[in-house]
Amino acid sequence: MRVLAVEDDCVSAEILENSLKHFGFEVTTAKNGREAFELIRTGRYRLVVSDWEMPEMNGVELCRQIRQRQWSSYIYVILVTSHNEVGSVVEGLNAGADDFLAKPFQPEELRVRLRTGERILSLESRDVVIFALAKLAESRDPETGAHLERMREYCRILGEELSRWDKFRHDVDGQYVQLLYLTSPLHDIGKVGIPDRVLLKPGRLTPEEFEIMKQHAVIGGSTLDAAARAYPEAQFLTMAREIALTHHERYDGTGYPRSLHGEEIPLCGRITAVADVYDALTTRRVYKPAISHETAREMIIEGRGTQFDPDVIEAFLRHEEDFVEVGRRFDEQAVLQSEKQPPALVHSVGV
Amino acid sequence: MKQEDQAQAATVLDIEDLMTRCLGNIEFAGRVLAKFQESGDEHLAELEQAVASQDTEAVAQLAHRLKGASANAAAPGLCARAAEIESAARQRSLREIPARLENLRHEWSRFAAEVPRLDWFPEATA
Ligand SMILES: [Fe+2]
Ligand SMILES: [Fe+2]
Repeated sequence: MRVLAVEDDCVSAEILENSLKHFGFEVTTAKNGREAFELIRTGRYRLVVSDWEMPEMNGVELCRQIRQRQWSSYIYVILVTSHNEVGSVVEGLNAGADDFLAKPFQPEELRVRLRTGERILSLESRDVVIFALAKLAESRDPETGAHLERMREYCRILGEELSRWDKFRHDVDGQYVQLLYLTSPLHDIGKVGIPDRVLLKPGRLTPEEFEIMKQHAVIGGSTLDAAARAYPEAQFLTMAREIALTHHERYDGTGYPRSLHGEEIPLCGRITAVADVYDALTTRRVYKPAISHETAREMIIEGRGTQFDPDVIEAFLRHEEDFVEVGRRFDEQAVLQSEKQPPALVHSVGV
Repeated sequence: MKQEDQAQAATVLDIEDLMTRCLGNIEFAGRVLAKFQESGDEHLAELEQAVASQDTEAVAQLAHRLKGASANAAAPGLCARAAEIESAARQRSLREIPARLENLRHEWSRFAAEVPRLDWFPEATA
């Protein structure tokens, strides 16, 4: 990984550079904040280690300048402070610094700080990649708008509610909800394998076409299954596979592709089923207008125990207003977006 | 080298600390010291000039830089002397600066006298 080292004193710069190289980083150096900022604008740096006091532009000002702009990805900044500046850590935090290192630093400590930075940046990359992948699949399906954005919010609401139930205490925790939020947008990724004549058909599908459409669950499931096998320690792939494969199963066993019954369907699949259908109902599609929350609510209640898990319905009913609120928020955003530019890829940053 | 010489040398240059900072690379440590001496001469001259023209802001900044460099080059004596000048300049106690600058100069010549004796350097860190 590349690191930008910012230091005005040549001896300190030399030692910093040597340590960074020793730890396997690719290093570029800058003599002050202004020079560093110019380099950061090239978009090549995501990890910055900067001295605090420097002529022209100091480290705190550099932080402020970095945070004032939108970058294609998060920039992690470690400030190196000497003892008399430790009292101003608050100032550094306010300016947007991520971490601090006392000067003169111990190389081992530098290594630990950098590792933390790398870990945070890699989480961001993972989140962005997952979401980009989902958006790619969605891009072939032009009518769905902010479907993925809303749906994962719905999933989070449901997951958070269930995490408070005794029954789910062992399975559903903060980490589970986070994974659900992260991976639910991948539920329809298998649609990349559905031919355009079926996927983009404006009218009703024939039974034969519907059979083809149903394949998206299997295609998504097996694609993610291959990835999950290759990286067994990556829990998000396992959950993403379950969601893609089971989000069209029905509680009474009449769903597809495997006609699973009740709790044979993984919980994440039962949650995404409700979130997916609620969003499909309440937003406009080529073949139908948007349905009001009240009507959608009735339809979902009707599916209790047949299409949907009664527990998930209960969680939905307890948080109806939150669902309405999410819908409203994205409507407003859509209006704002259309007044500005074409919609940009929405970032999902966990830092 | 005699026992007391070594104790004396420790405040001038903390070899162990230097080697940690240089991750055990002796050759690199030698280069750092050479660079420190080279830039130190310059920095000291700049500092003296700033003191002469009573520019406290510049004195504080230059002393701060020298303090950082000495800390990194594992020269605790120099680091302390530079810190004294920096804090005097930040508190605007101008009268104290010339004496402190004299101390720094003295420490600097001690350092310059000490470092060429580092032919024992590799053994000392072996
Ligand atoms: Fe689907
Ligand atoms: Fe969907």
